Amino acid sequence: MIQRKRVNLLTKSSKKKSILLFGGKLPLVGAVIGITMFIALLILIVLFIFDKQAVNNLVRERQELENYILNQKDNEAKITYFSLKKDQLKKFMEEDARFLPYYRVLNDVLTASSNSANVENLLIDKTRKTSFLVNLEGYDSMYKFIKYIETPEFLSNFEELKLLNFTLDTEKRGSKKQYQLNFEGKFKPLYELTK
Amino acid sequence: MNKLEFRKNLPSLISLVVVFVLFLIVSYTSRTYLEQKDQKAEMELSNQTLKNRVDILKNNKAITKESINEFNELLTQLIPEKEDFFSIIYALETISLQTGFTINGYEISIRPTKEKYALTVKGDGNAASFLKFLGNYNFSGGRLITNEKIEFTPAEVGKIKLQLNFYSKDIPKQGVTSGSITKKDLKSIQEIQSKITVNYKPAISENFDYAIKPDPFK
Repeated sequence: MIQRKRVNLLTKSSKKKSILLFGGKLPLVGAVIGITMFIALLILIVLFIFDKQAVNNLVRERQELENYILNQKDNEAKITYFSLKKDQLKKFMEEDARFLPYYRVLNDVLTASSNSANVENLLIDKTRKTSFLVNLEGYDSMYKFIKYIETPEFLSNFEELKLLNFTLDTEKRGSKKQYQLNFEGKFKPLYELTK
Repeated sequence: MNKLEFRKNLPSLISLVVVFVLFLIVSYTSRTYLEQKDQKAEMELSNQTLKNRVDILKNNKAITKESINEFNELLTQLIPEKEDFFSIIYALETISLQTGFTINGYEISIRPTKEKYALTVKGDGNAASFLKFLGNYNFSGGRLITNEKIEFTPAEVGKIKLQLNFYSKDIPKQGVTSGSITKKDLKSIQEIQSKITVNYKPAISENFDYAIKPDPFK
């Protein structure tokens, strides 16, 4: 048996330390993360089940809708045909000048202004642009008409209007002088005129 | 790492593995859930399109089969799928007779577009008959006719030249969605119907609905 007589306090005693990963705190952190993930997983599963039910309902609904449409496919084709043809009709009608309604509007307005006012020439195109020549007999009619064309009653039929020229017809027809007024402008759309 | 250290770190290692596995499960589940959510959104959208089609069909139940057939025939007559010169000439003759404005010549212009045919028409008549013509030319002849520009001089109606447009256009066979028919649409078609005095009989469709013999030689 060896007896130790003295202890050497100057030498360092080498003690091996055991390594603990992350200071031994990992199990605690892992438990917290694990529980959180588990709760998240449960929530996801519940949401998944609800969504799956909704998808099944949508599939069933789709089946019913498709069956109905299949039974009505002839009717649907006819309605589609009507709708497309009606759109063609509407589109092509925009190419029309729609002369007569505007002619009537102008005629009515001129008759209201003066008994002798009449349209000698009228041009209307599909964009509602117009030019017209009004013939008047006698100074009184002409004066009345000139005053009338400045009233809102006359001007409300046009988006724009200007008097291009004003002539006196030197070749008298009858006892009264003939006056001609040449206008250029644009009618308002018909639906505004029929208000 | 020796056995003692391994034993001391075992809980940490287990927790690492468990967290990793949980992470994989959660990732997979959330991906599956999101895919299903996308699928649900797509289905909702396509179901809505189908519902719109069904609504149109239900809303138009009031229009009887006979009416819709009649209206479709009328619209096909006004704007045929292919141009038909016979109906153009017939339309002009009909309007001429109805209004008293005599159309005494026409020249076919170069076709401006695939769907529009322009005709220069010479006419003769008085102011009253010309105005009647202007009030009736759109539909009375049985074809849709438009006129882009009209110049009217009451004293010179006899020398009038008009450019009239006739239309033909087919319907696309695919890729169309059904539209709705409103009361306004029906009213305007009925008004047009009342103006038309000419009805071209549509071609009688051949009926192939007969029983088929298994052996045509017996």
